[in-house]
Amino acid sequence: MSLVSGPGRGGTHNQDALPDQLKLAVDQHVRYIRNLDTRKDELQYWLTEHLRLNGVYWGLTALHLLGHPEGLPRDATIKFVLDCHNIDGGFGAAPGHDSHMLYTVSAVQILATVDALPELESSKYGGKAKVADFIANLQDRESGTFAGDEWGEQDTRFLYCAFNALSILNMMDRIDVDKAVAYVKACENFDGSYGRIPGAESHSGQVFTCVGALAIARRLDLVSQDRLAAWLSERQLPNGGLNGRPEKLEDVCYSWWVLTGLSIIGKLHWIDKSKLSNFILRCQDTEHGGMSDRPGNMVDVFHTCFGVAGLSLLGYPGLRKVNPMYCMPDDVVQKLPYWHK
Amino acid sequence: MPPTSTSTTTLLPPEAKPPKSKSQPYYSVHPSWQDVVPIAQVDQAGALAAIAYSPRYSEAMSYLRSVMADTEVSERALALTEDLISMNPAHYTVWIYRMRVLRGMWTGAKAAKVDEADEKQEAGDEAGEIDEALWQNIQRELKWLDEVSFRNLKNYQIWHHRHALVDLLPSTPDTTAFTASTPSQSTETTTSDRHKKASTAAPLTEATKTRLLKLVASEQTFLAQILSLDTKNYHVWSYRQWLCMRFPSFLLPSYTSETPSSVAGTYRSHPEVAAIDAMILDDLRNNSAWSHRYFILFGHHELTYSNIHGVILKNVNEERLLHKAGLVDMPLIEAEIEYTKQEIRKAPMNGSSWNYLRGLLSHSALDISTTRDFCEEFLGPEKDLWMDQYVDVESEDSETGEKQTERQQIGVRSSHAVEWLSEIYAAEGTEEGRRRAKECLRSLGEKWDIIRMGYWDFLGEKMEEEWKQKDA
Repeated sequence: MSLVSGPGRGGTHNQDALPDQLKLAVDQHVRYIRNLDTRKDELQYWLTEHLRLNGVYWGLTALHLLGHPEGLPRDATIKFVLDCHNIDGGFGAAPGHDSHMLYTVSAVQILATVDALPELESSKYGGKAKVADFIANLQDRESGTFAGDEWGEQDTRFLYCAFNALSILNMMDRIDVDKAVAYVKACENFDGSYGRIPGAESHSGQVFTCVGALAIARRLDLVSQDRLAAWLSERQLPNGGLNGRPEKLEDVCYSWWVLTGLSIIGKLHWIDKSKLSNFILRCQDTEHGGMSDRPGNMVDVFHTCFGVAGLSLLGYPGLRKVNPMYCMPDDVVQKLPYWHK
Repeated sequence: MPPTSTSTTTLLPPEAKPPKSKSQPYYSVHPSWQDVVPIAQVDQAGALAAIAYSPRYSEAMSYLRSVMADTEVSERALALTEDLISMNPAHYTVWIYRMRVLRGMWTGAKAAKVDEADEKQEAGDEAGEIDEALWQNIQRELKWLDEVSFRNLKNYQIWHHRHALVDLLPSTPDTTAFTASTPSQSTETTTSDRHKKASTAAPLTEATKTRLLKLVASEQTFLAQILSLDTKNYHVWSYRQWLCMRFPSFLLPSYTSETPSSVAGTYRSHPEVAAIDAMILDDLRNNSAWSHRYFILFGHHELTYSNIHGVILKNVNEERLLHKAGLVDMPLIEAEIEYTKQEIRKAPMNGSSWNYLRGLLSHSALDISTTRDFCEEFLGPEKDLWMDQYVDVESEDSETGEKQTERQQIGVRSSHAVEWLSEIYAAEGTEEGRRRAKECLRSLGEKWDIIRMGYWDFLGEKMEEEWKQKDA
């Protein structure tokens, strides 16, 4: 899965469309994603090797939401994921890469999406118990938060990843959920939003990880819902797009990070949904496929995934329903033992 | 597969540096690397493709895999990481390995295990001194890192590397206030828990203090340069905030939770405050600058209180705990309120400055009604809530009798002001107040901020509910 940008550009081939004429170019996006894995002749393919497993997750999720799960071959995908499995139980970005929380959660999400979680048990490095071991060992038992690996820094992103993966595996009891929840609570600022550590600048990405984690832990009571929703609604700019922090530019990926927060706390109607929908549609290259961060820029699989997910959350017709906590097909999430109680 | 050398291969001269070309081999034909067997990429088909496109990069990666497998600590391993970083600075593992090599080389720990390196570090800490060699090493690496940072503004790993580097320096006695091991406060973690021992560390020697001051000053200079190129980079601001917490006595205007006297008189000339003043002067819409301003003047006090009393940050603010404890620097608050109002007048729609003002009120427990006159500055004539910002005013030239129109800015100039006034008027508790409050919300939903109609409707309903209950 290539993480190169382009060749398409957002906003091309549909600049003259009237707002209500804008449509989602499903076939072109499917073709764009399928072609990504064939671009091994570009240097960027290799320079982004350290993101490869994330790339597969973004591409696969977009295909599933677009209604084309067959777009990536299931067996090859499963094999690639298992090839990324390491002896410590975690997953690396690509075969031979060191394990990290970010790739471990992608691995688990991919397997769940293609209904292949039992395949984990066939890995020579152990099954889900080993994966859970890897994740549990990354929790700082004192503060409650998580590191990405044994060397790196702590961040609520990794806390969210741990909750995401372990709930999918139905092994949340392996970690101290209460301590982690307390840490998330400590990251809330006076404006109701969240920063990456206590006292840090409020940021939409952190809202996704913090609120997502609390939602998975079934602790949404800890969110200052009205104040947070007000802050999130202020992310919408006159052009309909959403930004990540006050006075910054719009970016299609915030259609996801901001939208999930509003969706989870039931305040989607505090923004103008049709304006946002039109903004996302204007970020497509309707001929070459793919979406960019904003009209005029090069497309990539990351923004394609979150643009499509945002449209699904907005109820765009024909898309499979997405789950706001996981950014995975909702029907897959609902079948998980953790939610199917 | 990069060729292993044979006796017939011509080796490069020992002083040869990695070439800029993407296709020329280097490690496989360099005399200092002949003993290493490179490890190829696991995925065979992919390996071939990679080599076809960029033999240099895939060659370097195969040598990296080999030295990492042996956890080699050496100058040549260091040079290899530098080479890879120049080709692919986003490759996380290379940075981690570079730090391991550095730590190993600097502390003589053969196996480059960070724990061993940390033990040697702690010995230095307890003497309240910085080892001369370590100081020079850190300076050298920082200088190299500065250059890499300028070339890779959007890279995150660079800032984690810098953090890990600077964190090798001794703790100052007040560092414990911010990195103590209480649940709500654990932030960036080094792989050691040196800071937990800081309270038992010897006080700093004068020589050490001088050095730390010098480092902090040069960090501020570097940060100013980097931020001038990428003013809102979240990683850079995160690093800056961490630096303030790591060396509070050098970087914060008032770093204790007791405020024996106000800093209001002199604080604007404090280097960190002056740095933020400059950034806001350059771009008053820089949300990160405003956020950092709040942190250095007020936020860190809240964090300290939160730490000491085991109360989470949000509650410190919501329950006005600093105000109740008599720990708010009111002259400072007042000075900052004046400053912020001045900035708001320059750009009345700037959300960042209005958020900051909200933070000041929250921190000091001042009521929002104290800003009523200020908010009303942004309404139309006679506090009109509907007039357009610009009005074409017709006049007649007194000499020629010619009719002219002139655009004048006299209407509502800030939707934030209108939002605040809805809250202020509602709190007055009078019929007129309630009527005005509702009119504010209506003007927002119908004219000034239509995109957020759902929110204004919600506030209106909430108000009605509260009044119904009050009146009952």
